[in-house]
Amino acid sequence: VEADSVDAARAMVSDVSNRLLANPVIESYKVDVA
Amino acid sequence: MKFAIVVFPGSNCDHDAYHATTAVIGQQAELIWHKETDLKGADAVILPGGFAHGDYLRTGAIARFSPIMKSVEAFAAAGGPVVGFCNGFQILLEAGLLEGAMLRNRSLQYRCEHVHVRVERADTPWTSLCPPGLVMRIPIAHCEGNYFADPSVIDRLEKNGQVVFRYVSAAGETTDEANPNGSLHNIAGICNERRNVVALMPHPERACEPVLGSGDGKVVLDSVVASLRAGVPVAAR
Repeated sequence: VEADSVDAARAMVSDVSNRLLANPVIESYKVDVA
Repeated sequence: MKFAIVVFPGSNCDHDAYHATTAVIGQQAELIWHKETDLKGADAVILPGGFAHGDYLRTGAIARFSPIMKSVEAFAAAGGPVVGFCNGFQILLEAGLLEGAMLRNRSLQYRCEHVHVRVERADTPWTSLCPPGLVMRIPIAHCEGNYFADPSVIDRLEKNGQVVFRYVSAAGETTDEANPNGSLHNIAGICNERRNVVALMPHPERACEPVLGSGDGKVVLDSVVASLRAGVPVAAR
C-alpha cells in the first residue's frame, strides 16, 4: 500500500485484514512494514 | 407471503429453495441477484447454499460485501425473518449477523450425507411449528461446517437458548459419533439474540418431499409462514 506514514500504512492494512483478509474469530495476522 | 432468495455467484441451492417455497409449500418467491439492493417486498429472506464467490479467501468472506447484504442487514434489524442454509450460514457469520465462525470439518473431508438434527428451540420464526425435541433427518453437504466460537460466546449462546439445532443420533442423543464435522457442542444451527436470524449447516430445503429421501425439513419453511401469519413483525420494505 502507499500511505503518508508508517502508522497510516499499518492502519490501512490492519483495517483490510480485520474486515476481509482474516476472520479474527479463528485467524490472527501480522503486519510487517518495510 | 413472499420469500426473497438471494443468488450469489456460486450459489447452487437457490433453485432448491425456490422449488421448496413455491411448488412444495405454495408461497411466492423471487430470486434476487446479489448486486441488487432491493428485497422487493419480501416477507422472509433465504440465503441459500452453495459456494458463493468460489469460497475464495474464506467461505462467505466476499459475499458479505455484496450490495444486497446491506438490505438483508436492514431487513434483519427491522425484525424480518432471515435464514441461512449451509453457505448462507457461513455468509451470515462473516457478515456479523450471527456469532462465531466455521472451521474445516475435523475430518478435513467434504461430507455429503444425511444426518439427524434435533430442534432445540421452537421460539424462532423458523422453528415455531416444531414439537419439542423434534429430530429431523436432513442432508449436509459441506467442507467448512465445524462451528467454532470462543468459550464465552458458546456459553452465552447456550444460556440464551440461541442454539437452535444440534447434531444427534437417530434416537435423539447428543453423541460425538453423530457430529459430522466437529462442531462445538454438536451445534448445527444458531440464531441471533433477537431470534429472527436463524442459520443451520444442514439443508432443510433439500428435504421437503419424501421423493428426496426425507420430507422432514419442510417444517422449517412451514414455520416461518405460520409465524408471519401469526404476526411476527414484517421488516420495513
